[in-house]
Amino acid sequence: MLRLSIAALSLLAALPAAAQDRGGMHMNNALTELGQIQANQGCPMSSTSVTVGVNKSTATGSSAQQQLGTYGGGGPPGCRPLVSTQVVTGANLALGRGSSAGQSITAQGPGGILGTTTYTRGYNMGYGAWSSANQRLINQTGR
Amino acid sequence: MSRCARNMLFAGLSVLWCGVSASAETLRCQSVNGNLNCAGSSGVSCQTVNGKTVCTSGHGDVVQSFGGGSAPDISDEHSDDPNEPDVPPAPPVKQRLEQHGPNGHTLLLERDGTKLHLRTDWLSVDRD
Repeated sequence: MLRLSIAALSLLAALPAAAQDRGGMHMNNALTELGQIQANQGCPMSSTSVTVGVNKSTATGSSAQQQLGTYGGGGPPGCRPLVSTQVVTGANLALGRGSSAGQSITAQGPGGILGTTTYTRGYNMGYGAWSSANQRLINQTGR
Repeated sequence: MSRCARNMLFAGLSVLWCGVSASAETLRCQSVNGNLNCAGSSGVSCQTVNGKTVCTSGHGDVVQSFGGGSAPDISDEHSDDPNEPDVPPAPPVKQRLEQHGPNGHTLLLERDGTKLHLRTDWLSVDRD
C-alpha cells in the first residue's frame, strides 16, 4: 500500500515536469537564440498590446470621429522583449442618413527578438443613405 | 379576441411589413484579407489597413484599391546570422465582394490568390 502511494505521488510529481517540457516557441537555432535570451536579462520577456475602437454615428446628418493610439511597451530604453504581440481592431459605422464616421487607430511597439505577431482587423460600414465611413488602421512593430 | 381588435392587429402588422419592405436597401460589402468594408445605397466607405486603401460605393460605380500593402515591421535592424531562416513569402491576397439587392438577388465575386470565383443566383464561374 505504501509502495503504491509513493508510486502515485512520484507519477503526480513527474507529470507537471513533463508538461513543462512541451509547448513554447519552436527554436530555429538553439545556440543563437539561447544567447539572445541571456542577453535580454533585465528586460521584459514579452510585450502585448491590444487596441480596440468602436465608433458610430447614428443620427441623421451626425458626425463621429475617433482617434486611438498605442505606443511603446518595450520596457526600459534599450530593451526589446523576446516575444511581441500586437492587436489592432476597429469598428466604424455611419448608420444615420447623411452621417459621417471617421476612425483612426495606430499601434506602434517593439518587435520581439525571437518572434513578433501582429493582428489587424477592421469593420467599416457606411450604411445610411448618403453616409460616409472612413477607417484607418496602422499596426507597426519595430524599434 | 374581438373582431375589431383582430382587424387592428392585422392592419398594424401590414403597416409594419410595408415599412420594413420600403426600407430595404442594397448593401455592398468587400472583404480584403479579412477586413470588411461595406456601403449602403448612396453611401461611401473607405478603409486603410497598414497602407492599403480600399474604397466602396453603394452605387457600385467606384470601387478602388490602391497602396503598397502591409508593411507592419518598421525595424531598421538586420540580423547578421546566416542561419536565420528566410522570411516566408507574403500570404496570397484574399478579396471578397458581395452585393445583396433589395429583391433578394446576390452577387458574389471572390479572389483567392490567383483564383477567381463568380457566383450569382443563376451563374457560377471559377477561373484560375
